[in-house]
Amino acid sequence: MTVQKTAENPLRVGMRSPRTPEPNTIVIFGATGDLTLRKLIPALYNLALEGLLPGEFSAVGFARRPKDHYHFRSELKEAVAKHSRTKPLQTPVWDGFASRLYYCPSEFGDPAGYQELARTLEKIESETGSGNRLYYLATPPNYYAEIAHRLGEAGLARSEGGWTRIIVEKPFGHDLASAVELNRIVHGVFDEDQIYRIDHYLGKETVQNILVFRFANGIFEPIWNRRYIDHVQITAAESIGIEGRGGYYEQAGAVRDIIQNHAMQLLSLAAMEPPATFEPNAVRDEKVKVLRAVRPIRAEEAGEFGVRGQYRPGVISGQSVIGYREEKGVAVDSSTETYLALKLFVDNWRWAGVPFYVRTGKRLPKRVTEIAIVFRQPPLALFPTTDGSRLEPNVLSIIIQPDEGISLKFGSKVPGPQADLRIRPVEMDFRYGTSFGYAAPDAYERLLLDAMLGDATLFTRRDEVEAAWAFVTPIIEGWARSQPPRFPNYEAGTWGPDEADGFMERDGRRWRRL
Amino acid sequence: MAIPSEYRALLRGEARPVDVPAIEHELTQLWKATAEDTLEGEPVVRACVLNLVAYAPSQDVAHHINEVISQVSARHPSRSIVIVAGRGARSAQLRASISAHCQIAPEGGKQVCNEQITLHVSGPAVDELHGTVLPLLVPELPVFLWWHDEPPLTGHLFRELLDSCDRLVVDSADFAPERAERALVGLQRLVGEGGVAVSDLNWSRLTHWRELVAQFFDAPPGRQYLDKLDRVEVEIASRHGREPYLTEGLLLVGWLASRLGWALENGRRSRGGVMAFGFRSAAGAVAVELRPKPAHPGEGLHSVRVGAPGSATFSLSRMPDDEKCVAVTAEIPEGGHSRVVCMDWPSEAALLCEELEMQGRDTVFEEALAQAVRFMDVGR
Repeated sequence: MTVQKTAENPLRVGMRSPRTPEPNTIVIFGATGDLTLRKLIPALYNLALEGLLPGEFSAVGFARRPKDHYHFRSELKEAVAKHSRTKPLQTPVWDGFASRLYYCPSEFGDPAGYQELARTLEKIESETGSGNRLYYLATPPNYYAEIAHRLGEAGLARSEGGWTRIIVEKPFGHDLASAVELNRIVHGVFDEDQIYRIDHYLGKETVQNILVFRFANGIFEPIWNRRYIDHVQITAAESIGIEGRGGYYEQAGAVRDIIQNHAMQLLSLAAMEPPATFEPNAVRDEKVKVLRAVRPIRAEEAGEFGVRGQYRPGVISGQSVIGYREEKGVAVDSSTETYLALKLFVDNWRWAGVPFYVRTGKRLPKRVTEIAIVFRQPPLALFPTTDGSRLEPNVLSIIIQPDEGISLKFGSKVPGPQADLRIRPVEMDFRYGTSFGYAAPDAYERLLLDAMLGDATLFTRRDEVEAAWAFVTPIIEGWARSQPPRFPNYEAGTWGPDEADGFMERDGRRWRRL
Repeated sequence: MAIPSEYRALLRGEARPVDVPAIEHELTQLWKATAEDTLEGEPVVRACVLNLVAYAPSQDVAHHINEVISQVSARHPSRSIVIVAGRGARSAQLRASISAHCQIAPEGGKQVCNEQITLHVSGPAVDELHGTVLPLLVPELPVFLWWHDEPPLTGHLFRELLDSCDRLVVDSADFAPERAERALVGLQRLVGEGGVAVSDLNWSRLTHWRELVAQFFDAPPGRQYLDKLDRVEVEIASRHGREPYLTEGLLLVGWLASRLGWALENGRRSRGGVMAFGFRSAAGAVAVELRPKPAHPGEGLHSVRVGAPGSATFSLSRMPDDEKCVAVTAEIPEGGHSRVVCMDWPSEAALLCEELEMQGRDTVFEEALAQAVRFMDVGR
């Protein structure tokens, strides 16, 4: 998977751990924000702790709040002590790591700030002898274009002494036009092979395991098509609400928060053809083919192919929770969806006629993300059932979170003599935690290391982002033109609005009970 | 149906004597009973991803092996078959017991359990034990043979078990000092036979050290010095309070020599256990010194220092004030760097876990071992 080019190191032959990246400096824009404190710096610290960062690694925080290096380091130390997956903080490692943390206070649009950043980088690079730079945009999305533009203006988009890359957090745009425009601006400064659009879902072990499961096992691929599969259900359910992010969520809704990125990524991994090689572009070529094959839902069809919902107060795990419209930063008459179910089709040879049902929601009864492959019934009902009901179909479910694993449901005879042979569905389970018994590293650790190594396999390419927006945007536009739904329409702690059940029943199917 | 009390005790780690022919039946009964109930409120799941056959030459070693398996089973749930051999006894005896190792899964919510069969065998029955062990292996799962002793290359039981296993695991650090060199030569001969894959936990102890050494040369500007190295110094502290033995150091130097194509030219042993070697690389002479630190209370490898002409030095050294951490320093004309990496001494369970993940032969180890065996001949 690694594409970094450097002189071969014969000591690397047969080594059991991944190679370390070339010496580099990461510049985090939005260095005082939640993402930096909760995820990025703890991930970098854990990489340092495990010796996976190069010796000459440095990090520069770029943000608006005035402070000096020492104050910045002290804040980050507190954040790492609190949020790191490894505890307690290892002081000697932290001290070494912190000594190479710097802070550059500036407005994101101030050219002088970028000149100061250039001087800081020059000073660091004169000490380390390395000109490799990784920018991380951890700011609100409305600053992405400005920062990319300013970096280019300050001559920081290229480095004479090494590579320069930029990681852009999701959401990448808020519709197709804005994504295209953002791509245009970023591409005015950076080449595509410098740009790493991050979706942390792709850093999860189980998401990566979808490819291993499908393409490293001979038994699944022959039945992975329209001939054997009745339909596919993709669920990304959360029991939490919007966690104080009312301002963001009002603009995003479930469609932008989950469907356009996470759900479409899961869909493309589940439906893609085998890539020719496990190289970044070969994998992404196949993913984007799926996204392009997703049958567009025209604006006027949005109501026919989707169900929207918004939660009202309810009870989850014995705790009363407020409704969406009572959340901070949310309009009292908000029409933003917190639940969305969609039916879509992938119009290609493999999947013609197989519906993919995708649902996501906030304040559902539990947190669960899975891809369920529901197989067709046997061609002949050989065994009469006592109550006249149909047999349960075989279901292969790939559980992404929280209890990562894979289950296969099939029918089995109930033991004992019976007037009528009874068949009961049973499950054959594989659980990561049971078979491997240890926690996987955080997704950000994996993705940061990949970006430093120049491996873009688990990052989203320009055409993928635009293809996902091309599918989602007409739906958003259709809703904008139609009558606002009667929100709220589902109680917190339930599996969404009743219409979502009716939506499946119309097709003679039902949502999986999770 | 509640789990019967005798099974409940098994799940808590207590061993229960069983008749040898009834082992499989008893285990089946155990898992059948537990499938219908919970242990301490959590459903019980039996998991098994491999067979681990462990050989203990004494009861003391068997206790230690039990401890290690208990830790390993969290990460590699397996069917463990522990052979406790009493070779000195005259009469042939064979007793069996079963037990289980259970722990809450990382994501919680269930007790993940796996089984252990312990076979106490003595006298002439030892050499025939393979006939008992082989039918107990779970079919179609990898078989690891962990031989907690110097491997007896001509031993009947050893050879028979070897024929049915995918990987032999030994720990050369545990070889008796007076027999260690001969045992290493034997191990290398076994590797040379090309049959089973071989792991040495002493080699696994070097993994992190090798990783850090390799990191110096992953990227420019360090990379340019790799082909020009002209000196290597390795310090080794005592292990388990015993006199330091240089096997780890020999394997490390064997690794460098085999990877970098160094040819051994000469060597000597001097007082105090210091070993010195002269190699020839494509760029010139390379001087290597292995030095024990007998008074040092550490565990095995203590420091590694490699250098190249022009005052380029790359060093790893356990920190005096926190020996769990290693100072990693590169001093080169282009600008050096220094950092601290945490590198606690790995437990035997952690080392074994690493080996249980291995598939196929470790040719890098095999080549390092071949070199190390050659070095041992030097200066006799």
